[in-house]
Amino acid sequence: MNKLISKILWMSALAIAAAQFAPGAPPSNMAKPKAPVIPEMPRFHFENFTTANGLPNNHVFAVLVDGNRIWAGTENGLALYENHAWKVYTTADGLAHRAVLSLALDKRTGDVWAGTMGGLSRISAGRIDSFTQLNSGLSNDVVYGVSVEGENVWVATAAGACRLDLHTGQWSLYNERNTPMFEIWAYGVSATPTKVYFAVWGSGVLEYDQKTGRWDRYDDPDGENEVVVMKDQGLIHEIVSSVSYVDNILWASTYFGDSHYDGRYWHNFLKKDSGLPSNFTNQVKGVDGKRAWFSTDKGLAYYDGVNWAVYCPSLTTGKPEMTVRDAEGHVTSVPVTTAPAHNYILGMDFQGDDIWVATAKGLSHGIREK
Amino acid sequence: MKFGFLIFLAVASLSSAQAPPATPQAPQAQLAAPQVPAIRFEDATDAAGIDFVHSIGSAKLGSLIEDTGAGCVWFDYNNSGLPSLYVVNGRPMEDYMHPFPLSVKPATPPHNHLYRNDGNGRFTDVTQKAGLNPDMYSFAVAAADYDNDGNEDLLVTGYGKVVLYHNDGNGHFTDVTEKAGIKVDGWAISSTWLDYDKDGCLDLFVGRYVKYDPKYKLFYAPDGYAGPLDFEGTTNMLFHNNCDGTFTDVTEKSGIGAYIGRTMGVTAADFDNDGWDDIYVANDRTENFLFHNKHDGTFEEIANDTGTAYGQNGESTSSMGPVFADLEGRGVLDLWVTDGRYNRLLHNSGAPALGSPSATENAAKLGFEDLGATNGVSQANAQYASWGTGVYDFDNDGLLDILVFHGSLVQMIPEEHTVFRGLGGGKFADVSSTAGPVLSQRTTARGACFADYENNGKVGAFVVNLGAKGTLVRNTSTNTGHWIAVKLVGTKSNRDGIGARIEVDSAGKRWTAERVAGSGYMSQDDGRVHFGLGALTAIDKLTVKWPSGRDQTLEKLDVDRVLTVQEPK
Repeated sequence: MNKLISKILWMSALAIAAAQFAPGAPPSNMAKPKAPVIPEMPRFHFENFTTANGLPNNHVFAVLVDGNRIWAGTENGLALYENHAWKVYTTADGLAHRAVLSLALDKRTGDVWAGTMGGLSRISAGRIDSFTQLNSGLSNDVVYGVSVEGENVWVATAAGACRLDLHTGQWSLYNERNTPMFEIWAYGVSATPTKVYFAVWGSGVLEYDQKTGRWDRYDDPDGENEVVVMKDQGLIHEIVSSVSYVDNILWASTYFGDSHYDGRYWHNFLKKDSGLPSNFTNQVKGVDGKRAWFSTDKGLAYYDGVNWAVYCPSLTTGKPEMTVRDAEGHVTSVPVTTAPAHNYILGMDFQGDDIWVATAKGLSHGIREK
Repeated sequence: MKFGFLIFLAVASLSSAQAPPATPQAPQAQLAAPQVPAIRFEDATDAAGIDFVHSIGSAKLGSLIEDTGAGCVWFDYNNSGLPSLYVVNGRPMEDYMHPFPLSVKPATPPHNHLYRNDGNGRFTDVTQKAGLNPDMYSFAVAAADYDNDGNEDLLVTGYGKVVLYHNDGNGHFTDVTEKAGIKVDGWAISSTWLDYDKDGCLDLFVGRYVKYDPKYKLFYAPDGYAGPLDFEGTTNMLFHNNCDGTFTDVTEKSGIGAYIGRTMGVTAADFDNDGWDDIYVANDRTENFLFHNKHDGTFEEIANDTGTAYGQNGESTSSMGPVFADLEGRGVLDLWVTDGRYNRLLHNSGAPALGSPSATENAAKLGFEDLGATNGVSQANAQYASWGTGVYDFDNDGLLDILVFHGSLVQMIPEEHTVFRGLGGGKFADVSSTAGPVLSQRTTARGACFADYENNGKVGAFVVNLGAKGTLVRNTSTNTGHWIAVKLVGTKSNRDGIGARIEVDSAGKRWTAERVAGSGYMSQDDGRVHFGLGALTAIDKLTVKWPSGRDQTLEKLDVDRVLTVQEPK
């Protein structure tokens, strides 16, 4: 009897096991495949500003946070957002040109420097002074980048770079004559007390050592090739759109991918093997040595050193999207109700945990949710 | 957070430089030392008493001449058993030669230096006593006992001429250039000694760069000066040693003179295992040359056919320092070439085994394959201009490593330097960032020469830095394995044994190397052939295949020493 019972029990066990493992049969007690854990990435509620609510133009080239004041460089004037209202500075106020391409803050004085299509303007306590090729030592009136460090204003222009010594008022010019700048189309600048970096359109990254006064140049080793011969061989491409130097790490954006340089080794990011939504990057801003934000033509991207997040209106439906890519390359869509005003991002700046984003169709305020 | 960043950096740097996982490593594992060796170097320049400062001869870099730099050689000029160091130098030339001439010329012009190795990690400058201060802007040097009298002689190349110094055997050298019948016009650069006809007397190959014209000044400003392609290329020269202290110019007769290039580095070795030394010429912005020895006093140029003519993208890049070495332990010499762009690790895929019947077959069947793109070595150095280089087992783990010195072209921008640790199977790991601050200290390096100058089994280097103090790079690697260094003394063959092939067999593994003269960029390493042996404490068999054709075998040898092998008479 006991033998029979045990046989029945044994057969029953076999039957249950067979049922569990039968092809097509849903597993009963088996562990379900684990869904990838979505990395915690910053989430924002985006509020967008356009001409409909006070912006002078929807083409926003640059944004600058100055405490509670937000400056927006647009195609038709410099806009200041303060106390929930916009004030617009134009050429009538002394602005060098209506199209404002770049912005920088002098933290010592509170002055704002605006690079425009027609010169460099300083906004100081409501007064605007403009510097041009004709009235100053500015290299060229098309000012793509400006950065303030100590008493120096470093400027990237369409015809070389220059520096204004605020103490002496003296200008220094840097071009193909006195630096290893093979093309003189300087597109961006990041100045720190130790190093100053220039993004040069077609000539890589230029480095100026503040201590030694020496120039260095970083190029794409495969030159003008549009293909990447070996990925982490050096700067990802010669056409560099912006630079950001933070914590002794250089971040460089190009129209063909982005680069991270620690002083010896390069690590490059391409759409095909990172979370970048596009290789076409207008601006990179390093938060620190491992984290950075990227302004691309297909959305705003954030890299936390391992994972990526992308914020944009859908390229097909226009609906707000946020995607997260983890270290293994799993991409997950995160439900969101808002997104930056447009997927074509030109710049960003930070206000505490919030982010302000310059886009091709308005300015966006990303209010951090978690 | 910080830890995560460190991991990121480690991954980034490894992925940027490290090769894919090495192929099965059973033989290596068998030989591995108990602890993992770590390649380390330190700057020992000051401690050694070496005060060499390179001069570009002018106030500011402004010409191709000034940017070319200089080289060096380790050689035992006084038969002390220790290699001494000779470093060549630039100097102010006539003002018209320099775009930015010095307004005040130094009372004592910068000059070449001979540093005698005193054996205690210290060196003494004996230049004046040795009489090794040629009146020329010098670029490169090669050492050999060309008259087989037991003393190492020197050939120094420079702008407008070369100088052959005969070692008088008493610490003094005598200029015998004219007497020896050596006349080289134009811009002489790297040279090497080889016995191309195996008559027991070393012949001389002299590379020449361009037909320089100081008056030509058309160039784009950021280029700094008129570059190599702005000047006509020129021919190299070959001198046959008549075995009586004189030489005959056989440039045309040998076929060498038919090729116009822009020579940078030169080396000679038997790449096709036919027992006859061939010559590789690294050219600047011009296809490189591989002169295959036809055994009848002539050479055929086969670089294009063998895949050694061009850079990684098929371009005529700036090839700098060539080194022949058996990088994969196969008994054939691969070719490592530093470059202004991608360094090339040229796997010798065509050479038959030494002495096999097929070794004499048509050389056009031979070929090299560039592994640099796939094993990481080209990628890691692509951002630099690479010059002086040495391929040695720096940690004596039984696998060859590669040290490369960098420094920008044109702008005198200093760069850090790179060491790759051999993993076997043609794979390497970039260990530069852990190899000591001296490799992260940025310099504008040019020529470099390598030697175990302390006779402790650890190969170090001296590197010439453009317009700056040179660096003695001391090997302080830890957990290193065993080693042996072989000093050859030829009798029927040339006395240096240049061109001899050495095979070391032990525990089922074989190491192969050839005693060469010129190597790397404008330089020459210590003539003693160094082998790292890993955990092996004895050598089963050591074979020397002398240029004379004799094979000499020694068995059951102790390690960790310099072994002198004299060719049987």
